[in-house]
Amino acid sequence: MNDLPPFSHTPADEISSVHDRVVSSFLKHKTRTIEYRLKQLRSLYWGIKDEEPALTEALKLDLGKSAYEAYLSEIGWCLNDILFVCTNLEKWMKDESAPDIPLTNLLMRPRIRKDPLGAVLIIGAYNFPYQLTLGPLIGAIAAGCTAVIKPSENAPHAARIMQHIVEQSLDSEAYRVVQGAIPETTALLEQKWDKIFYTGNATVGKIIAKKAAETLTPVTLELGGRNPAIVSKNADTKLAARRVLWTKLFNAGQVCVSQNYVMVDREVLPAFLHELGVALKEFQPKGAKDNEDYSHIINERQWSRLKTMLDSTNGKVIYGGHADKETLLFEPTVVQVESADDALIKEESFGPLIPILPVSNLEEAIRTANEVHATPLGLYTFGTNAENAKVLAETRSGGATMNDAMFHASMPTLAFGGVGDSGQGAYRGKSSFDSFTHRRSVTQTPGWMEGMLAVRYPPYTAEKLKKLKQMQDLKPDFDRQGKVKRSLLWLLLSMGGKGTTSVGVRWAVLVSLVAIGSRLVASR
Amino acid sequence: MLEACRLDLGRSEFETYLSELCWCENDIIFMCNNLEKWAKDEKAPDIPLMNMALSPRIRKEPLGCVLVIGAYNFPIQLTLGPLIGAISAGCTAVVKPSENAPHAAAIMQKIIADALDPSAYAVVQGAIPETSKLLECKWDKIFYTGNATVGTIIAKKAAETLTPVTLELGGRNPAIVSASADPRLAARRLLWAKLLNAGQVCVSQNYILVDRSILPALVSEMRTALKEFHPNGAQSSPDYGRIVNSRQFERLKKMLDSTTGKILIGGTTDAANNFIEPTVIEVESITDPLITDESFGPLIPILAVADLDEAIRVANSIHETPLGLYPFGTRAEVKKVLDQTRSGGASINDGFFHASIPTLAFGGVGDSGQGAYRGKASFDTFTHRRSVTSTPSWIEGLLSVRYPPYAGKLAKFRKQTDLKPNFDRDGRVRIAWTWLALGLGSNSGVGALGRWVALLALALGLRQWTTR
Repeated sequence: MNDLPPFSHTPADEISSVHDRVVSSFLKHKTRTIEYRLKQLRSLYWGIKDEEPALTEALKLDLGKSAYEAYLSEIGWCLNDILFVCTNLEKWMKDESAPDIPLTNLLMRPRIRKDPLGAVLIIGAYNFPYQLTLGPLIGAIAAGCTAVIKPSENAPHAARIMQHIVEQSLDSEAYRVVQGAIPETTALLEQKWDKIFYTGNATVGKIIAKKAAETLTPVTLELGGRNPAIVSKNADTKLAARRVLWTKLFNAGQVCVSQNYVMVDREVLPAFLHELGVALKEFQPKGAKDNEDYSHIINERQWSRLKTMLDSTNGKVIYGGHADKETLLFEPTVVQVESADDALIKEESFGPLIPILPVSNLEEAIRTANEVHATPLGLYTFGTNAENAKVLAETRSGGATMNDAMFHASMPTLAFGGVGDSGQGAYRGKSSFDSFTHRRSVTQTPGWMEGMLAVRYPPYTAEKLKKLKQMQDLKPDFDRQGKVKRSLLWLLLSMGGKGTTSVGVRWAVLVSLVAIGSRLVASR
Repeated sequence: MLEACRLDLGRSEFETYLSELCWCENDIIFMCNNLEKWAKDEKAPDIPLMNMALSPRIRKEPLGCVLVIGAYNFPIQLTLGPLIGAISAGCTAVVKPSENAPHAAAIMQKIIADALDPSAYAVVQGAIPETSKLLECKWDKIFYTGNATVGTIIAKKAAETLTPVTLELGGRNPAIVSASADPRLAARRLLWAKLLNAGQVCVSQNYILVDRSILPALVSEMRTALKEFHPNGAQSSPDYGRIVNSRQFERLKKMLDSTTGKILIGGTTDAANNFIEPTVIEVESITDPLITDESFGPLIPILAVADLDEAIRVANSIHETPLGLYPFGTRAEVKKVLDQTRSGGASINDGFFHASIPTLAFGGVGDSGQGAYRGKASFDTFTHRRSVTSTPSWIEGLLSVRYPPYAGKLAKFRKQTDLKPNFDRDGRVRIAWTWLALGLGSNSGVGALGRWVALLALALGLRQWTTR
């Protein structure tokens, strides 16, 4: 890291020319070919791979992150993402045959082209700086967009190394890094982009959304939430405790999608708390202090915020509670709180605070979850299948994991995003490509069809109207009471199958049976 | 509904039937036939083997309660269409029809009150004050069809509460007619796009860029086509609609009066019944108001260009991201146009055909709109795709690699998860000869299987043939 230039903000007067350069690069259409995109992606792959030591070191400096977590959630994550995208890019870029097109319209070859949106702005976050900054960039490159990335200034070492890698590996006419904080981000937002991809908190998310709205610029917002975990009385408390704790040790709980609080059925509360203690001992046998595996809080501001939250709780600290401003250490801290109004529940901690709220039953848990935050980013339900199904059916969230914490957010190719105020849009895997792609519906009308098209031109004779009705009208399969009518003939012909495939399969099986049967009979 | 559209837009029964009634009825039947399939959980794609035990799937959940704001030009389709999607997706909704088509608004209110659950689906009527009031309420989604000015207001308001929106706006949509195009077909098809609903169609071409060499032929063919379409002239044709109200009429009249171009066909207007004849104008420059503004009416400005490159350049400079785009020419020319432009959708060698297929996803890009609907896309636009996984208990042993202490676990983890690149440091793909042989050159498992089956069939066939 020492031979890299120090972290410094991009001069304000350079920002608009950086923007203009990536825009004009896009308009030169050079990002359109698959060869170009693959070249960039493969180059980025080696760029990241070659800088593994520096990338790891930067995370250690910014977050005290262990080499294990650095590889798992950042370096390895991005490398695998690039390979996955390269393997699938040709397939994704192809025109898609439009689905559900009636026979008469198939002659127009309706299809969906995958067009790049254009020049995009990606604003990263500090907690998983590589994944959250380069992840969207990988999608943008794959989709054929040009891009400017703005890494989070709160993780300055990560920002430096990412700038170095981007400058070394990617076409500098098409992919640029702008460094800075609020003034530089504001200057970036004054420029016109074809898409803005933001990861961070809802406050800044709103500012960005409002600015983007002025120019009708589409956005993807990956925000956060007061994500609940619900542990029913039928849950396996040992597993629930281990899995819930895992989420809050990971990156010292600085994970947007981890549960913000845990609601536990009173009946199993003692067992759950006990199991938390057991798991804590297993995961941190020597405690949190001076623990190579445990990250620190990103900076003093966030540390103080967490300290204030902890100090203002009305609950009782069960485990942990120790924090050190010098080293930005914050122990994983389990607090049993009394009500949903507690500061630890009402605010998103984004840190290793584990408030536990006892509830009397599942209904109360669901009600509380919905009151605290109707549309969180993640939701975690531990219980029987029926209980989990009920929780899912009566709540909303970006994503959800049953009987685990944040697992759905740890699958690299599973689409990840929020709903309502926890976010808009999604990415990862194919949805990264989709997030920067415009699906352009296209049809083609052959010349020879003109005769058939005569029905659409005036004069609109009564005959034309009649013909049109014949061509167009679908018949409802339901009567005026909304009951589905099944004609006997149709039942016979379809053999109870619904849909062309199932009917086809049934006929195929019947024909095969008849063929085999008649063979057997004939050969006797 | 037929009468309402006749009163509001002077529109013929044929057009109302085609673009409004039959359209919505068929849409509902299509939804009903497919809803069960769409509402099912989807298996998540691209999941590696080791993650399959966690049953990753996508649930389809309703966004919640939504606001649908309709428009006046196809009041039924643009108001009930989104509502049909909202109902299918399991949302509740308030519908605000356009006040500029008051008869249509009234009949839709009656239908909704009679047919739908009043506690879940309601109609609010009004204009700016009522719409502002509606926007003060919190919705889980706002679906707006109309112009970019109001679209921007709605987007900004929605942003305050991070409410997602679908915006179906418009654009200065170009048609590009190359020297190789068939002028007769181009004329008929582009005229059709401007006669329907008296050109009040968001996606119809706003102007035509035509290669200088065939401009006269194009205009001549338009004359011929108009004679065929309106044998007794537009004003006495029962098939030709009217401008929706005097405000829009005045706007169009003003546009027409301010052109520096030459009126070649039409030009007659009648304020008494909001009649504007389909009018073809040859304009001089790209700064003509007929080109720079969206007419949303039966004005057909034509601008001569020297070649395809100029046409593409002009189109991009007028509006980078229009709602529709209409290239006429050879396959290579059309490809070039599509590759060097952006638009919501496009119809090749036709007026807005892509926008007349009821189940084809329809939407804008950039400032011509966000999101899409129609067919399955209507269901999708009101649905949240919620990624869900389930971790079984028995897997806890395998999961141990994720828990601290991390000592000694990195190597094991990397072995499990690291993918290998199939390219070298110069970005060149390394050919794995064994894979190539096994897969017979195919990229996918299915493709490889297909090739093996074909090879086997060929071998068997040869054997049969040689042993005759």
